[in-house]
Amino acid sequence: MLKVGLIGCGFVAEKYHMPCYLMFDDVKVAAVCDINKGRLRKFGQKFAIKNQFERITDLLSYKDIDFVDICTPGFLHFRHCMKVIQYGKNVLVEKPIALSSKQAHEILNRSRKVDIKVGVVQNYRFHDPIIELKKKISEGLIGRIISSTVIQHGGSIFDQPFWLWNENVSGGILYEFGFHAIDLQTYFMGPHKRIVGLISKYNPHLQLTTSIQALVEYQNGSSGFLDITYFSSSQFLSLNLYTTTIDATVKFFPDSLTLKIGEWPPLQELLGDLKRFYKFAKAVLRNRYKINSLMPHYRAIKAFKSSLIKDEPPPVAIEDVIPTMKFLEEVKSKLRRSKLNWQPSHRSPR
Amino acid sequence: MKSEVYVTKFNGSPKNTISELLITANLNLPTNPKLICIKPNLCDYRFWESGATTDPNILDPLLATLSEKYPDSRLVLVENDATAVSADNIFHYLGISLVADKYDCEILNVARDEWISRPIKGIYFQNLLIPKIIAKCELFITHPKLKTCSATKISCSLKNQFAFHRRKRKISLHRILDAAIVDINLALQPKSILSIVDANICHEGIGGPSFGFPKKLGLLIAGNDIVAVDALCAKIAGFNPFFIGHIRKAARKKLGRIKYHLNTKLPKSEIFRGLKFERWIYFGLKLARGRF
Repeated sequence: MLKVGLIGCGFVAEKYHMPCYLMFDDVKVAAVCDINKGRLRKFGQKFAIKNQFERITDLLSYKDIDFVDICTPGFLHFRHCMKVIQYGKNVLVEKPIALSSKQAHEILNRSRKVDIKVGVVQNYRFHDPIIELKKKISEGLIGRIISSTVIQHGGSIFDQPFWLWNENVSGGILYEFGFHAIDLQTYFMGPHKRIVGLISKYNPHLQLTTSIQALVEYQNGSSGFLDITYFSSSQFLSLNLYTTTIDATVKFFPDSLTLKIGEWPPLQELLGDLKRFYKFAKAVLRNRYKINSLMPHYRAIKAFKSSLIKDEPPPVAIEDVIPTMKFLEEVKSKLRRSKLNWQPSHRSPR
Repeated sequence: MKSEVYVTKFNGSPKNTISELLITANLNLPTNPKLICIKPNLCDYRFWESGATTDPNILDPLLATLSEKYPDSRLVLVENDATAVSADNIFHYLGISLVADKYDCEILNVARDEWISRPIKGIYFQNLLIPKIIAKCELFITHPKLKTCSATKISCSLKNQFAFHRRKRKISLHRILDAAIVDINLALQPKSILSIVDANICHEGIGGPSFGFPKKLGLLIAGNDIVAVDALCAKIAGFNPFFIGHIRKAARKKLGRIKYHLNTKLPKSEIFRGLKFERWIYFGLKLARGRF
């Protein structure tokens, strides 16, 4: 039986990580920790966890723990990771592992020195269509990727925790909202070579970067287009891969993978959407939708658990996310420049 | 009487597989041909991994084996312009010319070469123009891909020669496709013919022959009787060859025999794996085009 120490009792821990742990027979959450006393008590009561700590060091001093799961806000991950490694425990950390590649490298070096496993919960890599697509690529059924587009449009962020509102703290649109989209693109395309062009919009009233569009050239010669936007008219996440053999479209919530070849008439478009709807309706009618939505986290945690038992590298190790971190860093540096150049527009939209 | 068709599987190096097939199989090959023409399958600007066009990784060992077996022969890769293809550039685009250069093999767009007229007792045509080089060559190797086809169910050895109709806009022949395939094969009738079907990465689905889904079968099929080869390929793809118009009509015109003798060491389960084909769309399309 593996015993877990959980740091952070917020939304992600309560809605995703804890329900996953309850599905395992050989893993038990032995202790929890949160700085917010009320939230800690409520969480402990809800999941019947007796060992509750307000300080991380207290949780880390608790001996009966095999690995620590970090579910705190993203900007705290680096600090918390380093602390856990210092105490010699294996770590599973929610995304983003850090807010810079330098920090990620620091965690990597420190963990290697003391032989600690650090796994990152890149749960989107464990969605059904992504697993299927990756499998098809590895089997050679999908050819060489020529280009990709990833679009993530979201609504307001002011229904989210307040720390997310301050992009200087949280990393904002890049590290919190668009992280998965960017990571998926890098996951398929590999490390980037350069950002050919980037347009971003910063809203001084919201004090937020609300939109980023970038054209990227990858080291393998392919290209990618990225569009991440807050406060958009419609909300969705889609990934398109254009290859020498088959073009693939991945949609999320509900998930679907559509493979396209040749002309794509409306009938086939309709059939694709009907399939997606059928899958969604079936899950809802069987009362499986909620469980299905947990599956990416479940698979990520399960794979990490297996890597500990079999003493293998974690399914998503730090090395696997460093290309994403480097890309984010370059985008961030270009955002700064575009912010300095920002001029307010007083033109009426009508 | 049945025609011999040889089937082998790509195990390890494709070179060994191909040379083994060409040397050990009892194929009827000329002893010292001066000119060998090879007709690849370059039907569209789709890379080999799509399963739609000739795989340079298979063509390479084929040319290597041929140049070893016939060191004094002139090897020519031939292709013709098609509705959406210019044979001037497609060899280069698909990486075929790189392979050809390695073995001093020429590439030829027959649309720019000489053509001769051949009278035939065809189904539709009584006279057809054919490339002179095909009439001249001592060995003609058709090297098609095994694919499903929205118009003819399968596309293989017989259909590979459809490219040799003189006109560029061959799509205009689609209304008499079966007859056009049989007639061009009747007109070509080279001195010696060999079919080497690349069924390694095949093509399945109604989108074929250019926009189907790739499917790995890992097979290499060869025979001197292209009708028998196509009949076996139809079986492999999951069709009854008798219900494939151009194969049935080719057999009636005595281009070859539908009955074949399968010469292989492989178990049948590894050969007859079938390719997906949405028959309801096929028949729907036929109905819509009024071709019943």
